[in-house]
Amino acid sequence: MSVIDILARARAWTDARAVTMRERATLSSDPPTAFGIAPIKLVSEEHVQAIAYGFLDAMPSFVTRWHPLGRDSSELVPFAIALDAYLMQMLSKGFLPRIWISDTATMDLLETMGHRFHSNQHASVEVRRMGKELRLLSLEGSIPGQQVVAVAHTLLMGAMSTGQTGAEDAHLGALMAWVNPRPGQDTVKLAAERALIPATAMLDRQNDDLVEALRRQAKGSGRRAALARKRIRRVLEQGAGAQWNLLIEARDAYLSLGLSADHLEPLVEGSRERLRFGMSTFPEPGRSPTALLAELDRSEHAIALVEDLDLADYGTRERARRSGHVFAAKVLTWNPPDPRENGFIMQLHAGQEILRVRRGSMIRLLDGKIRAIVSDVEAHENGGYLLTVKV
Amino acid sequence: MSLVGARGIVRASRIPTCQRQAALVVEHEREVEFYRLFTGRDFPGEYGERISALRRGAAFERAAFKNDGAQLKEALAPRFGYAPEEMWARNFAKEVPGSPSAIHAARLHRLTRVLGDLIAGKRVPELLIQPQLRIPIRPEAGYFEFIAPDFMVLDRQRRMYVPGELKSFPERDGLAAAADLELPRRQAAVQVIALTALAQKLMVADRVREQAVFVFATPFGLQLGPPHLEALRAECREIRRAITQLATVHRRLEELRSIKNAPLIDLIDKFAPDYREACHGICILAGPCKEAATGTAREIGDEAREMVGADMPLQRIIELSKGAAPTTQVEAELASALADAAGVLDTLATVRAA
Repeated sequence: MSVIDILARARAWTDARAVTMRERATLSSDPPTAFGIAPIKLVSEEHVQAIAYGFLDAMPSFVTRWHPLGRDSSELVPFAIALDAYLMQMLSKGFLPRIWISDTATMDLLETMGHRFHSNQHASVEVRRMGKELRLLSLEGSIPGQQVVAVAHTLLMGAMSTGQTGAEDAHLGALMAWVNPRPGQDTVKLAAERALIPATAMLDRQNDDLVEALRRQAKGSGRRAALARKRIRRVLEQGAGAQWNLLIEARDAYLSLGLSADHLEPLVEGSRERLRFGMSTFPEPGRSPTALLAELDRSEHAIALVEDLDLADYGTRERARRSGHVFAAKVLTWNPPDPRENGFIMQLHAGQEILRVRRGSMIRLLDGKIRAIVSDVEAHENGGYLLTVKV
Repeated sequence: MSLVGARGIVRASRIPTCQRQAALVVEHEREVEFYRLFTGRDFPGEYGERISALRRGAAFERAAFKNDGAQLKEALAPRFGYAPEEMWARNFAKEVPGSPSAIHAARLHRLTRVLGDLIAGKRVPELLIQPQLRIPIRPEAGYFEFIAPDFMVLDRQRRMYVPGELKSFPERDGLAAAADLELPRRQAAVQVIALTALAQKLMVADRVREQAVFVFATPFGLQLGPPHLEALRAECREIRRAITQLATVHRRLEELRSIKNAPLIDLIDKFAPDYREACHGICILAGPCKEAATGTAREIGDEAREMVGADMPLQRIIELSKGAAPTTQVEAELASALADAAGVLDTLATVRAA
């Protein structure tokens, strides 16, 4: 945390509303239609018992499983069909699909669902394909800077500072109290109240206990069991509906920040290529050392690209400057005096106290047009550093 | 739910600087009741494990221990170099059934005898189901906590048992979620220290390693996944730190009560709270402690309190950023950085508005 972040939190606390920390987005604009997934899982298990899903500008559809530990997965078929139709339609029209989820717990759940169903012989063809697609989306979602899976909570945390602790921000409902404060209500109190109810893809306690009790009845046969199953479904739909509403609220809040996203095309292109390839072959995640090294390499490259692009954002750039990763410098000399080709030497004066370059560091102008290697760093008599660089 | 046994020690280890929490642990307080006494109102949130989670956890353990621990033997045998059918298991829960408070001593006595046999070179069970250990916090004052590992498995090479934990949440590719692992690892560290204490009495403490074995569920239901032997040095260190804190608080309580024998609620102000980010989600008093810290740097996070000082008023941070004259050394060090930060945030707002 930098002093800028501390002051932003202090300001947010004083104003009782979150402070926006960015002017550039980390997520490209949504395609014409975006798809949302808001599941409910069994507590402390990665078994899904309900999903609200669909286009984000329409009412959601629901699938529910009254016995989520059972082998029957046929209840998931409508979701499987809708997800596949969306992905295929987007790709065929040349758009990059956009899946919105509320938090990383949802991502973990979808990943485990994918693992469980992608080759499950007891599952239908549609559900197996859903498993493959969820695996692919989870894999894509793990790549830094990817542009397919939008995790609303992560996006908001990256773009805003609240007047509470980071640990409290981990609760999406509590975070939203700061992002969308209610007039006349104490934001701190509202956030604290919301934090008392878990917001990570699960039912509230009362409904969870109710479903657990009903599940015993539902396992029987006859009218009573049928009624219990119906009640479970209703409770699960309500729970998934609440998660859906939270997702919509968080997404709207992020989009309403109006962050400019025109610098993200290289990331969009990377996601598009990976998804197009993945949807055609559904490759198994690599396990050999060579495959893992390739993955590490890809990840490192992605991180470097994201960090580079992120410097287009003023807030990020200024923080990087204060930590010495970005600097402003004045050109003192260059040699030869009238350079006509690459390979000339320059002396720069960087006035800042913290500077994270050393002999051999590669530096570049923020617009990326000129690169140079640092050949010497020494203290400058007027403060800051004197850099000798070879362009 | 009270803060007894491993639960209390683990709790104390997560915020080892909070004396108030340590006092609750020492007294084995029932948190919900204490909250009511402390605040004068009922705790408004969710507390304790849910029925669904308890049932699944119990079902997982039942499946593991069924038929003389057949599934557990099957899972552990390859890792420890046994043939499952040759493993001898003793189930202490079956041998000494009864309520937890009544059977501690009997189970501990049996375990001590097993270790005695082990030292004597006799054959001992390879698997101990629900054995009993005891951790000395302040033994000179008779303060111990009883600890019950889910199981212990014999490490043939070292001639010593390794504590084990069963967890019903699923693992993938040998990994469970880091957040899920934090608590079990600390729990296991408590067991390791308790086992070390027992081994010390029998002069074989050098055989105990700071490691434990974890068995999680597979993603496909309540089947047991492969066991993971994990080193717990950092967690053991944290637990030892917590034990020192608990002993200090125990001594302090004893001193206070030598003047006037009073319930903890009447003495709680003598024990300083230390509100931190970690309090959220683990301590029932996080809300009241946060209220007490209102308007200070504590309210916006641990890093802020480290940087500007825990009791720095947030309003003062704003004033300094606007150019107020510093009145202390800390303020003098912060003032220019805060003014600079204000410049960045103001420019950002202008850039956004444009």
